Amino acid sequence: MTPSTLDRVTRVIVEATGTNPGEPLHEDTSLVGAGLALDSVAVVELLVGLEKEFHAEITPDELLQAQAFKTIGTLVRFMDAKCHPARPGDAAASPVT
Amino acid sequence: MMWYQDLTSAAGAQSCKPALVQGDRTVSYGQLFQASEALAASLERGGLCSGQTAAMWMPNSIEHAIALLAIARIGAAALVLDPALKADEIARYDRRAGAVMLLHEPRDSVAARPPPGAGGQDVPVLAVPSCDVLCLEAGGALAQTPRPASEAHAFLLLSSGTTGPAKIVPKTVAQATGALRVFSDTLPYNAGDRILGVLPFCHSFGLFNVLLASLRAGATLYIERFSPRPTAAAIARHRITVLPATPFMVRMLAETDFRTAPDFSSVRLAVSAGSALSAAVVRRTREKFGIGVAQSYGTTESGPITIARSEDCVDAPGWVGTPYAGVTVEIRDSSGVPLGADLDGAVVVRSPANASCYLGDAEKSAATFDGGWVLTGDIGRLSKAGHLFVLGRTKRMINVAGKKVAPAEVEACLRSHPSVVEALVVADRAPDGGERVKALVVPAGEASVRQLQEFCAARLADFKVPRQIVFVEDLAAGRMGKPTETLPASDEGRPIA
Repeated sequence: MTPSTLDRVTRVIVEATGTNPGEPLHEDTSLVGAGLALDSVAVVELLVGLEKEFHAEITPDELLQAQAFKTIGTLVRFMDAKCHPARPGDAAASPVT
Repeated sequence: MMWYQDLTSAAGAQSCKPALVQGDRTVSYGQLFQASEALAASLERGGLCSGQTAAMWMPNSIEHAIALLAIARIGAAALVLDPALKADEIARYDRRAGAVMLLHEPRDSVAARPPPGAGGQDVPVLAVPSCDVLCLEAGGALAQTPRPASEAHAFLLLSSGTTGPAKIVPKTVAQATGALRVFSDTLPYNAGDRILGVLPFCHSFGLFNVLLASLRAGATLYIERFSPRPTAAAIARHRITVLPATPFMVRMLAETDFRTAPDFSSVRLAVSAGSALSAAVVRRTREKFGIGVAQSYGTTESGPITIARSEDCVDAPGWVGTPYAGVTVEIRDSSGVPLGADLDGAVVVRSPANASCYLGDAEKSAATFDGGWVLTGDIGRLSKAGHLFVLGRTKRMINVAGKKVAPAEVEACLRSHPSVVEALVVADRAPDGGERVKALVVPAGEASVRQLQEFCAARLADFKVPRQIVFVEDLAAGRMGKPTETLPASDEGRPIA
């Protein structure tokens, strides 16, 4: 079974930033401010870690635009959209939860 | 001539030349000094006088530079705070420094944040108007033209130490002047340089050796927020010639997978400061971008101490190069007696940039400042050829990508939580060479890691919040001689320049 995007994202958060949340990370866990309180250094570490894990090029602008670092859930959906872009003609892209 | 006059005379010669570039904004030397003159007049009307202190809580920006110059123009001192600090921290340092006002970024700037803890500050909080607005206001002259004495305070900088919150390091006008000369006599910038401004201006290297050194040389400083891809693109686009960075930034650039290598051929000097850069990252940077990286070693208290130039690479652990021009390094034994070459001891420094005390703390001052010398708190040795090797440190301090965290400050915050009996904060060493804040906590009742992290994040700058919290039954195992023991020689233990 291939790991889900959520599994991969949470693994990158833990490994790239050295964060140990002490409890399972959920889709609604926020990354900055309250929640994991990732600082600017951790945000860059996370960005570089995600690029490596997903073999993708990610710019801070697109993260900002998608508000991808709001919660783990928004980040998972951002990475899904990034790696499996909806093809033209697809009736509905992956359902948004 | 003192540093401010050094800057204005350099600027006078080229008033049309770009001094600062931030995004789509470019400010010439003429506009920069016009805007800072207007802000100085406005701060003076707001009650700031020569000899007083104004605190600044601003991210790197054109307006940050304008505010520094305006405060200097009045002959006042600037308490330069990290923009990551939280309201409680700001209020505490403002009180200790006796600041009469707190300046923050323009309200209309893209990344404007609300003023810190509105109402929680003891002093008036003023938003610096944007450069455009200040230039329109120009014309209001200062009522007085102060000429601060060379021993007047010019800057108050924070330095994390072993115990409690950071100490405040005053740099006098003469010491600030000395800091700029020490640096520019060793690594001179020139008017043709295009310098990247990603290091925070609240750190002494970013303040003196990036922002002020660039203005003193009549160069152009490109203020950018660091993120690997945009920063690499900015280096290529602006044909950057001088690249000051932290080891963290260099490492992140080296780790990013660029499909086509960015063009760094314009870079004539890359210099890393804040913590040590591993030899592996230096090698990768050379292979990937074709540039060498010099490493600057120093402390807030002493300014720059030694420079390790990439061309005369000494491949030995702890190598930090040779002293900057005008700086003397001595190794002393535990009773303060100078030691000869190749013997390990305390690293002490004499420099025109040396501060002479911590503000309002005679006890800690006596332990660090000794008749013109600064005791760095590092352990090292000098080779016969005059190369310095830093082998460890006596200060208990965590270096998070160049930002220093005092474990005691984080411990005190954790202990103030009702569910915490005891806390010990240590450095968690990442395999790639960085350090992170880790806490061992003896809990009393119900507390989750997340709750404690949120509790800390409400009171401390995010970079001080423990990324790892481990609950333990007692601290005996974690404590084992830690606070007093000399930490092992590590790549990342060196203080910021």
